[in-house]
Amino acid sequence: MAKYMGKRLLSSLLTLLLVSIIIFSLVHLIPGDPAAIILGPDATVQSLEKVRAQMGFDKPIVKQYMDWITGALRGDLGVSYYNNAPVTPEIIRRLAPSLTIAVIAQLVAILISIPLGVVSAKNKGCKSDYAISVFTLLGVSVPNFLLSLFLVLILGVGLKVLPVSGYGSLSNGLWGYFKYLVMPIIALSLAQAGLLTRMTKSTMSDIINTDFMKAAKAKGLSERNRLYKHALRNTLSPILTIVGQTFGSLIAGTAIIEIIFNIPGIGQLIVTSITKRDYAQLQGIILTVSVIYISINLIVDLLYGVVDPRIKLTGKKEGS
Amino acid sequence: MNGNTSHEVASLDKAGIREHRRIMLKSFLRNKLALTGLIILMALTLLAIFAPSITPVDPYEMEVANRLQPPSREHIFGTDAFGRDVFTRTIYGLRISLTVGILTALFTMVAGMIIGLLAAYFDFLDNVLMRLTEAMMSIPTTLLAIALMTLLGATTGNVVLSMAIVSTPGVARLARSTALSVKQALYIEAVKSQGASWARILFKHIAPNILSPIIVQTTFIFATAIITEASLSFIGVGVPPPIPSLGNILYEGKAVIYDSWWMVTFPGIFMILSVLAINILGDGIRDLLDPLSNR
Repeated sequence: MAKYMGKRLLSSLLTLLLVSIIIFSLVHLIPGDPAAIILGPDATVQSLEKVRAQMGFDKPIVKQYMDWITGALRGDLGVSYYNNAPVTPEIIRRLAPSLTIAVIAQLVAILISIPLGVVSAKNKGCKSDYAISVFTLLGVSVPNFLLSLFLVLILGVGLKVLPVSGYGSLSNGLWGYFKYLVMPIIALSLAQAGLLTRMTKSTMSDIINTDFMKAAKAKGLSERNRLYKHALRNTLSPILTIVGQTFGSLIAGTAIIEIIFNIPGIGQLIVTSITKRDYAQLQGIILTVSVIYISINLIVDLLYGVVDPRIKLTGKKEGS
Repeated sequence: MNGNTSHEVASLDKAGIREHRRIMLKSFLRNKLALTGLIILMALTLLAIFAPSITPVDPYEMEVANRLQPPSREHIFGTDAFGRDVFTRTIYGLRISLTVGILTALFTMVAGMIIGLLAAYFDFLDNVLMRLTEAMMSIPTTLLAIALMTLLGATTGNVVLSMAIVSTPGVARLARSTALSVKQALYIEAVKSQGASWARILFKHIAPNILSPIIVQTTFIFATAIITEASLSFIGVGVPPPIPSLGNILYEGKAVIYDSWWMVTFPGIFMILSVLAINILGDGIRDLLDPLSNR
């Protein structure tokens, strides 16, 4: 177990290092002198020199990367090209609504998809399986921003039951806070549930046909007991994997949806970074989201040890 | 799955192959869902190809006096904020979105297969390439595409390029893992002993045998690319306006959603139809090529 954990931790760190190099090089390859971008077209040669020295653009590129990454390790992602303010506090402030929405949507999706997947696997070929397949197909095929637009049209503009856009704080009471989040969460979780239901169904159908499930049936255990206690436990690790792997696209999806609902999250921050050419902020955002994504997948992999006792014995993930 | 031994390959003569193809085609035609997907996709493609003959209107022609008109006989999908015909823009948008999607899928397939095959064959490349693809996949794809678009500049070609770059690692890893198992087959040993070069072994003997999973994956990349194109438009780094892509029209529709329901509804339906058709076609192809999966 310790060996498995150590190996997994080390490989995550290596991935993280590579990710930081990729993001840094991408942003530093953007054509144009960053000092000129900061000062605008009227800058004098002296002021350009001054900004270059101040921001460290005159240093060799490797030194610039080292400065950035050592800063990032201490939680300092550099200063904004636009207003010279440190970018970390702003990114954290904007991450809060995005992560809240993404996490709630993920939980809602799990709650919807596990029972649906089990029912679908159990009643293979029946009407309920067919109906659930249609649901998953739509979930996978209707992009969440499009679902958001349709929700806005129906619930916001048509029926006027929910606010079309905006973001409330918790000080406005629980409903004052959540009424702005209902539509984004529905939009994100339905698509996510489509994906998770498919996964649950296919793993569950594999497991239903295994010998140990037949043995459980022969022992006379009830169907409920067999499905939800014996079979479901074995589907947990694949489901967890998908939950981890899709978290990145879930956060990215949240970013897009925020633009529709005018939620002050990372999506809007990305847009302002790009329009103001604040590349320090852009690289900070992408690095932060990637770190979160990598950490979640690391946690998922470590959780395998808890969910799947076989790993504890062999120190290896099945199939690897 | 791909364990064709040299004996089996030899016994598969031309007639056998033809028979095999006939059976495949028959079972595909029997899969009603996949067939529906194919028919919808073909209809949409025809609509996109013949857009200029279907609608006589110029998608860029503005009639400001006629702005934001609801659907009518003259403008069946209404008009947008500049008085442009939404039906015309939608089918031209479909044209751009389908083109961008299919080009992305093809680029990804070729690049992913080359990288995956090289990694599977050369051990010294394997570690480097797989580490690199893993790192790229650790950055959420849409965000990586946004960064690439900022770097490359917003043009239609760059949309294809950046979406292809972000989806290549997944295909490369799939190609590698499939190729690794094919590499063990006896017939590879046989051609190797006959002195075949690595390029010949990889691209003539291994590549055809890893195609099935790659083709299935490529259809899903096609569908995802249509969605990602629109996401990029929402961030403002997609196909540059005023070019009509489905993403651009939807983004413009978002701004006027209060009084013009038609601006998001019609292009939205076309986008759903395209993605849905491609997805069910992909599911159908997967069931056909690998009957054991998901059945």
